[in-house]
Amino acid sequence: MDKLEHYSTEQLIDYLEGRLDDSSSAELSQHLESGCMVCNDATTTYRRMLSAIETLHQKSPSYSAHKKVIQAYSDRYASKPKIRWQPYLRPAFISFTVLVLITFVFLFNLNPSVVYAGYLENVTGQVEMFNPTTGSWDSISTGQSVPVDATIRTLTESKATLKFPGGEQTILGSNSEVDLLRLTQTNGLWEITLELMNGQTENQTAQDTDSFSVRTQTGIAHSDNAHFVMKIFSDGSAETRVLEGQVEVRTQSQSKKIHSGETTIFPSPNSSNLLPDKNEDYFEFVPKPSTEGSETEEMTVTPTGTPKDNFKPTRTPTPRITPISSIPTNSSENSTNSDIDCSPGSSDGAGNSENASNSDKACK
Amino acid sequence: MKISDYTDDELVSHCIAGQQSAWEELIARYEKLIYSTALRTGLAPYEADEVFQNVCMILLKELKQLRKTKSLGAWLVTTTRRECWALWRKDKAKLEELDEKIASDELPEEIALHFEDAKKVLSAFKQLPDPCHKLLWRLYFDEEKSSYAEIARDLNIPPNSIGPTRSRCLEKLKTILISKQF
Repeated sequence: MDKLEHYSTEQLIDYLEGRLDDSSSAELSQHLESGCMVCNDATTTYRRMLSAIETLHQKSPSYSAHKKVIQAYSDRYASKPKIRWQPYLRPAFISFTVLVLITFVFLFNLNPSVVYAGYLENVTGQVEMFNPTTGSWDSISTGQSVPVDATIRTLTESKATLKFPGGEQTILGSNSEVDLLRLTQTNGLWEITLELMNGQTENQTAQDTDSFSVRTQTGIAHSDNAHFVMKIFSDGSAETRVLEGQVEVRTQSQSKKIHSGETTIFPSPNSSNLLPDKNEDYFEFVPKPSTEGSETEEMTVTPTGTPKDNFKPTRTPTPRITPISSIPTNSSENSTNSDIDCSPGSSDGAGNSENASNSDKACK
Repeated sequence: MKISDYTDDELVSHCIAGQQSAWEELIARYEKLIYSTALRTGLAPYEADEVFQNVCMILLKELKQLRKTKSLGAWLVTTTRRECWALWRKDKAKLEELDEKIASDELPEEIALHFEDAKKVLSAFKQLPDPCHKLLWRLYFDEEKSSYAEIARDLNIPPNSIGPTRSRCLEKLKTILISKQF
């Protein structure tokens, strides 16, 4: 071939791949050696290309060796794989984060009362919760939640058990009214504060109770480990009776601890004959009552009508104390603030097995 | 920018910064170079595996010193040969054999250049349209080698058109490569 003529790409490739016969291959070699720049350049480029393609077919190390090497980097740098965000995902992620934050703020800051709530069990008779929106009392039933700031009441011959998330509970006797003032959890421990406006409650703390308080107008009973009864009489005086454990009772000026079997009275601030002198003990200590059955019948606090306004105090100034769960339910004239059943077949009179022993003792 | 488009320098920088995917890309880019270099010295596959791991460990340790290395490929070929020598250092006969093979082999820079070329060719090949892409794949890139007759049947083209078509496709590939300073 003349130096001015050039081989085709097909011929050069065949030459490089050894597909030409010997004479054609020799002829082409001679042409390249003669110094044809075009064919030499083309041959060099195609040779590099084919050599590079051949390199791609070289073998790889075993998968296990490859894996160890990749792992070695993780071990050395101990870094988590970084998320590489697609640009269009960033706004979506930000929106989602903001939404979650708003939800948390709403739940935990703006309206914490809906986060923790008690709930009702063993509702019998008529139990109501005050509706601040309508200003009316709405009937509530077993299973219904009771948020913080709620006010609930029981009517005549009604009772309910208010259970809390930590296992604490309060049994409301008939014609009783309480506010759930506080229900919080800190480091797994619960703090509960109730305000008893009328009637009586039988309160039981639980293992994770940090503070269980029942306020009245005249004082506050506070405990972290006790089973106790709070009762308000129609003259405004209140009594605390400890069935188990220890309760600290406080008034504005004094505080003291009372123990299992003991009872103390907060005299009514409106009742002058019960108000103590400055130098006297504000509390009126009542010795541990006997558990004779006659005591129950002597309880003469008889609320009638609506619990808040129509109490008719007919009791003696220092009533004999009877646990809430031992008060008979069927006496109409001499009914007490509680209608909890002590009749045969009722396990504990309060619908609560934990209280069974105390209640049974009281019923005897 | 895809991580596969990073330069070696960029990959090394991202590896130092703790980006796992950069390390994976670096290994994917050079594992064949390291392994094949070890095999070319006459090592058995399991020995080449060991050398590959040792070289990668050294690479991992030396990352911060490698940022200004001109040719990472050449450095890896040299390091791989050194590790092969270390593996056989107690066997004098094998060491002599190794020295001979290395002496007759290409320089590390040349071997590294083939790998650079391979990356460029693969990149250009991906830009080829059909039928060139399919034909060149079957002829050159597919691990499974096929005869012209099989390829013609599979691609539904006359067997005698494969040669001329191949030439036109390689010319197109060459044009793309030259446009990328091949």
